[in-house]
Parts: sequence; C-alpha cells; structure tokens
Amino acid sequence: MTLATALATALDAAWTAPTIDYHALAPEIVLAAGLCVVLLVDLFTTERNKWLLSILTGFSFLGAVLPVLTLALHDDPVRSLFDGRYVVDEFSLVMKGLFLLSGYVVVLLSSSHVEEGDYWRGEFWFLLLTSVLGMVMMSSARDLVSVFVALEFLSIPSFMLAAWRKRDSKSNEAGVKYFLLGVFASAVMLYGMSLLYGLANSTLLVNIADSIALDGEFGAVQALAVVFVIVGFAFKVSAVPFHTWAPDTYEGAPTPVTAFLSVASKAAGFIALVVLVLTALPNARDVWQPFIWILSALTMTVGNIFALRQTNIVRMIAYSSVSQGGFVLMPLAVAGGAAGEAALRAVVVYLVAYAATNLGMFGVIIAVSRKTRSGEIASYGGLFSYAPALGVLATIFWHRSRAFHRLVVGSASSPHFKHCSPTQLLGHMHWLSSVQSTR
Amino acid sequence: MLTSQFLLLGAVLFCIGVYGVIARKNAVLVLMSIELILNSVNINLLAFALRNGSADGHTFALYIIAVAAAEVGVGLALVLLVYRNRRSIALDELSEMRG
Repeated sequence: MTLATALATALDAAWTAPTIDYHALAPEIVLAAGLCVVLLVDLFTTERNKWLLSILTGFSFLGAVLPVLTLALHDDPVRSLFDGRYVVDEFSLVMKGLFLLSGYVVVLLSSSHVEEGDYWRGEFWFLLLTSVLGMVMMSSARDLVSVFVALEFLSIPSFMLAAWRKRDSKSNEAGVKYFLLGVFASAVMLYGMSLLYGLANSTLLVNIADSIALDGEFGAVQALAVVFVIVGFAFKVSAVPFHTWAPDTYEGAPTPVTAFLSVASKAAGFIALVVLVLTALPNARDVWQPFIWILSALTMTVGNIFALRQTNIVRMIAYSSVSQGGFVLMPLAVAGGAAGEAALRAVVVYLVAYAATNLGMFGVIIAVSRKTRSGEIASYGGLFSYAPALGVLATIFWHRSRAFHRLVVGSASSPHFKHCSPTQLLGHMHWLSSVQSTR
Repeated sequence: MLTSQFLLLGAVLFCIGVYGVIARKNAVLVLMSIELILNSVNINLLAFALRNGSADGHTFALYIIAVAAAEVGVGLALVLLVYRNRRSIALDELSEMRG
C-alpha cells in the first residue's frame, strides 16, 4: 500500500478525533504555555526588567509540577494516550517530577550567572524550558517516533545552551563538539530504529517486543538493529568509549548549563534507554545484556581513572559523572526477564539521588568560582577558612554521591536479582563496582 | 518489489556517511555526511513501509526530514560562530581543552 492509497482509504473512512486526556497532558501544556509566555515577555520588556524572565521560568517549572502531583495522587495513575504511544504511569511521573525540579534548581543556580557578561538573556530561559519539555515528553514516550522526537526536542536546545557564551571560544568548542557527536549518535540510532521498524512492521514499542526475538532468518539483522540503537544512546549518556565529548563540553559550557547537562539531559538519555530496552527489546537480551555489561564496566573504570588526573574541578566532575553513568547502566546488564522491574527501580532511585547530589555539588562549584575566579582544584585549598559553610556542603555532597554507589550496588545484588540473572556475571560486576565506589 | 536494492542503497549511503564523519576535518563536510546517514535512514524507512504496506514508515520519514532541517539550522549557526571567532572551521584545530 503506497502513501497515496493509504491516504485514499483514510479519506473514505469517517475521521473521528482521538479523545485526548488533557489532565494527563497538563504538565506538558503548562510548560509549553510557559515557554511561549517567556518568549513574548522577552520581546516586550526593557533590559532593566529582564529579571522577570528567570522568575517566570521558575514558576513555569513549579506550575508544571502541580499536575504531576495531582496525577500521582489520582486513584488510577496509569493513563494511556494515542493508542499507547504516550503513557503516563508511576515511572514517568517520578521522572517528570525529577526533570521539572532539576530544571527549577538550574534556574536558581543560573539566575545571577546569566546576568553577567552582556549576553542575550531571554533565549537562555526559553531554551532551558524547551529542553525540559523534551525531557518530560521523553519520560512518557512509548513509540519509536515519539522517542526520537522527544530526544531531538531535548538535545537541540541543549546544543545551543552549551554554546551560549557566543564570544568565548571554549564555549563555541563545547557546543560544536556536543552538536556533532550528538547528531551523529542520533543518526546511528535512527538507522537502528529503521531496521527495528522494518522487522516489526510497527513503531509501537510493545509491538516491537513481539517480533524482535533474535530468531528466524533475520536474527543477525535484529542483533544489528539492537546494537545500533544502544550505541546511539550510549553517546547520549556518555558511556565509554562514546564519552569523548563529555569532558570538553562540560568544561566549556557555562557552569549552570553543565549542571543541567550532566543531570537532566543524562537522566533523560538513561530513561529512554531503559524504556526501549525493557519495553521493546526484552526478548533480545542475549545481545544487549553482554553489550551493556561491557559498556558499564568500561565506563566505571575509565571514568574514575581519568578523573584522578584532572586539575580543573568541572572537568573532574565531568569524568566523575561519566563513571556514575556506568553505575546506572549496571542494573540493566543483569535486567533479563523478571528482574526488569527491579532494574527499573534501581535506575530510578539512582537517578534521583544522583540529581540531588550533583546539583548540590554544582551549586558549590558556582559559588566558589564566583569567589576565587578559578576552576582549578588547587584553588579549593583553604575553602573552610574563608567559607566554612561551602566547605561543609562540598564535603557532604561529594561523600553522598559516593555513598549512593554502594546503595545501588546493594540493591542490584539483592537476592531478588540473583536468582533470575547470571549470578557469576553479577559477582564480577559486584566486585568491580565495590572497588570503584570505595575510591 | 525491489526492497533489497533499496536497503542496499541505504546501507551504502550509511557507510559513506559514517566514513565522512570519521575522516573529514571540515565541519560543514561532517554535517553533510550526517545528512547522508539521515537520508539513508529515510530510504530504509520508505522501503520497509512499501514492503510492509503500512503508513508508519512514511510518517516517521516525514518527522526525520523536519527534525534534520532543524538540526542543520542549529549546526550551521554553531559553525558560523566558530568561524567568526577563529577564522577557520577545521575540526582538528578545535582542541583548546584536553585531558
């Protein structure tokens, strides 16, 4: 059936509009309205009144949290829209709350940073809101097309945010590197998605699960498709060996943007990967389990080793966040069969804890660099003597983020996991991550 | 149907695109190579949609065309920014940060 005949048959049948559950879409609608308002207010305010924009942005985030709360408190939290292509369930509500709150914290971190240095401010808030809107969509997307659109929705504004300091050549470099590798990764992922669509004859993730089982005459093509899709997301979550953009982008981008990229953007990549792997490819785990296992082990090891030799604090945090990505991937490496639920829970818990500690750490970094005008680790010597509160906070956030490694290692190696996953593999993994997290 | 020929064309374009991304030093040529990959995806999707007789592939391809246009807009803006500050768009000279 060509497109013309498809259209002809569609025109013959009476068209009924799909019923739309506006309550389920309310967080997205509030964000979309908020970003339009920010854009318009930016047009019609004078330079002196631009501080309004950061307040409006903050309130848009908080306003979008309200419907998330009412949805979560509703008796039936699972709502399926557009034939199951967009699902609002407990998992997606937790992630939406996380994205909106980390967006709000980034607004608080950046409002004085954005004032400095004579750049256009309105675009910053607009791009931030757009990117968070993409993340909120990503947590509900259950279809190849909507996963792709949400991914681009959140990435394209963050490319521009990374290059936001237009006259700073480091910021330019950060933006270009992030852009080229990000777009290349999504192109590779799309090639994998096109193969998945061809094999399953559907873009709905649930339908793909039935067709992709690595058997039949197209087993090899199925394996190739799975690997391509995972490689695409590995770039997004900066898993080794696809992490090369991360340290440069994190160092060159404005520091609040780095906080946003390393927390929210990364979490969005992870949940897309988790949803895709557990919903669409549960029967192809013979391919992705060992692949993610290797990625996870490499990411933990290389990230931590390279972090040791950095002298710039943001660059060290960048490598640290690369290595943290390995810990998030780890539950997936053993997530076959019935352990999927537990893996999902481990990933969500880790992402929430990671977001809280990392945003706190970036808050301290921004505060200290405003005092010392330096990003070198050496400049943190004597922090306790001139800013005792910051010193204490830095210590707390740093050690919390280390402690959460153990938490996830603990939950991943719980008995529930062990009886349904390759125990030996898990044993190695446990050993490796224990060594890592005691650093 | 000549589905396999279309898929072969898609695969060849994909390989040329990946080669271009890896081997080229000029930012605009890298962008063009990425476009080649996206077009190979479109060819794949249309071939599969015709073979399977469903309209999903056509819709997906339309989305990809639209998003690729947005991507190239942002990409060219970034390349222009680099050119203004450095008078060069060679990617191997973009190495201010290392380690």
